[in-house]
Amino acid sequence: MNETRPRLPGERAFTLLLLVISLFLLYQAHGISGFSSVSSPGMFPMVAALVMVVSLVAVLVRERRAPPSASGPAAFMTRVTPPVLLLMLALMVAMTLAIEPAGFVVTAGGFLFAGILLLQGGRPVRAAIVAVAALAAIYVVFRLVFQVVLPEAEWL
Amino acid sequence: MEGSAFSYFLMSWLDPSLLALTAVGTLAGVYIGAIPGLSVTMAVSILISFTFSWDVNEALALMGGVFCGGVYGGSRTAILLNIPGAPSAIATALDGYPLAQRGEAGRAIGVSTVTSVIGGLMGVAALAVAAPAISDFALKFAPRDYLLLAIIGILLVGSLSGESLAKGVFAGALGVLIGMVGLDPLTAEGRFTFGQVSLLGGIPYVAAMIGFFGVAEALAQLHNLKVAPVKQQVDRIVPGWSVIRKYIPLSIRSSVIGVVIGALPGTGGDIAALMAYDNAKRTVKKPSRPFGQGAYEGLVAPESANNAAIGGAYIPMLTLGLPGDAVTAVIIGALFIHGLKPGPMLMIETPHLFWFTVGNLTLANLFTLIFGLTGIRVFAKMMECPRAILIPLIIVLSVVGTYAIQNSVIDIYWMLGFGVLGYFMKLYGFQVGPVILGVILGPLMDVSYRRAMLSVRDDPAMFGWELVANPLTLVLTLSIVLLLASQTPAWGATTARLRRWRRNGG
Repeated sequence: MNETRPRLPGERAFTLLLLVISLFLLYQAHGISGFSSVSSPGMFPMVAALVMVVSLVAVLVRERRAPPSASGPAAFMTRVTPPVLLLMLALMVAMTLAIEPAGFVVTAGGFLFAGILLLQGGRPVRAAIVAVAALAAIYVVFRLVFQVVLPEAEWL
Repeated sequence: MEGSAFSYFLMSWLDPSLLALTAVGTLAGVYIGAIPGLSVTMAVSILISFTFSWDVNEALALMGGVFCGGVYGGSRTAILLNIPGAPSAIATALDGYPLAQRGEAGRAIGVSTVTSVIGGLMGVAALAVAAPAISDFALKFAPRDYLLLAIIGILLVGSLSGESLAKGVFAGALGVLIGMVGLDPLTAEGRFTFGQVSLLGGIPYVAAMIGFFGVAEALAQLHNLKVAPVKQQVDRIVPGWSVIRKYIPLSIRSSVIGVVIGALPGTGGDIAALMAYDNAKRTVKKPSRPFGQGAYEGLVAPESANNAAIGGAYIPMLTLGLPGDAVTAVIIGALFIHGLKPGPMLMIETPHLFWFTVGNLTLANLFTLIFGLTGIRVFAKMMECPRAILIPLIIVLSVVGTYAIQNSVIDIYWMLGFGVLGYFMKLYGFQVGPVILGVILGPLMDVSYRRAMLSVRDDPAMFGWELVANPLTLVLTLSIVLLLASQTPAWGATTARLRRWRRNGG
């Protein structure tokens, strides 16, 4: 029924990390109201956290024999976190940091330009045209039609 | 009463702005569903935050249109490019793409459009007939029944849609915990707040939805940057009546499967389509061609079923407040934001909302028919939109959508965090759909569980007895036991032995 798929690099580490977090959440859930009564506010969170722990142990047991595909940092970098992904994440964090001080128009415009440039691998003029057009469309649809409040810079 | 129900039904047909919103929603849905990387769940989650200041009817009209158009739209790219635009179109690609390779793409799109609409209308009809009855019945449901139904929903979506039940159940439980954060609704004690005031109100679930379905999907698409779009020549697509007539019986049969699967809490169009395909494969004696090589039957069955599942998924949502699938989980979130409480009382307190929804979904299906059979040239152009542009655009839209909920940058960080978590979960075979079901179902399960426990004065033995003493509750309890048992190795061994015994005996 379940053919064992080769394990991706970092898969077991990810499951173990989730297990550690789940155990921590179980401990936290116990801290809410302990075992004071079966209908206490902490009871259901404890059950949910326990289910997380048990299901992750089941995953680890079931996949213990799954053949690892290529392992090591190099394989992790290509299969799981390729450089393009890390760069996109960096751009996303930068956009979020800048969005309040610099305002939506500048930040999102910059993000679109940099993102498209990165993903299509060059051609800055095309990236700039697409970014400006997309930004204008977003602004008209959401700010003017949907009346969504967007972060605005003080100095603009 | 009947007369007023009919006038509510016609509301979105006669009000120009609602009519326009339904049309725009359906048209946008067809493209959103068709473009791989954009999903209906993503679109509806982002739309919540843009429409929360609107009137609830307008918001529902737009979302209903996107839902109907989107489930249909996935079939387009499944047929033309062998890339299902949406999970519900996975089964469509099995026979749709071979048809395109034979140069019958136009006819395949035509047949899939018409049978999608047949399925969609069957689903709406089922909703109109079944929901009032179920809603009356649901008033008799005790808190324990809600608890059991919610558990069934999480188990079903976990066991059917992911790599393994364990991963699906983990995802569901994670969602439940995310839903627990904040003040406990019964005692106002803080849970998982870590002393942070900002966590007292809970984790903004729309941010979680947009993160898991928008950003996580966009990040996952980064692996497919190099896939080049293929161009297809498509001309005549309106199918002849004789062709359609031939497939109507199968379409209706598959629609019934779709409605039932859609109505089960948790399971939606993707599973309905696969089940209907499987059913057609086993029951159609003389397909037009062998299945998998371009049989029209292999196109009709999943397309009817996945659209029928829409009406089906609305049934538990409007009658019990339980999401029928991931999209309805998001729509429940939208109803909460509009101050409505989906559940058996919704039909009594706001019957106009129910009949409005039925009328609106009917209308959206008619628009699907119109948009499905026209505008194919523009469509082919749109398909060439490269991912290099699409991915940054999805991310910006996700940021705008998240910020719009309560104008808070902290929500954007939540959204990005969930996006990254969702990316790793998807990559390693954990489904993100159960997480959202868990977020919506978690608080409901918690409150139902504690009400049920309090009603037996905290006596666990009495609680256990209640689970088997009432016929309805017993059926639900047995379903859970069977669902869990079917996942253990002992189940396979037992069924194999039973089969052998039957063969030897007969």
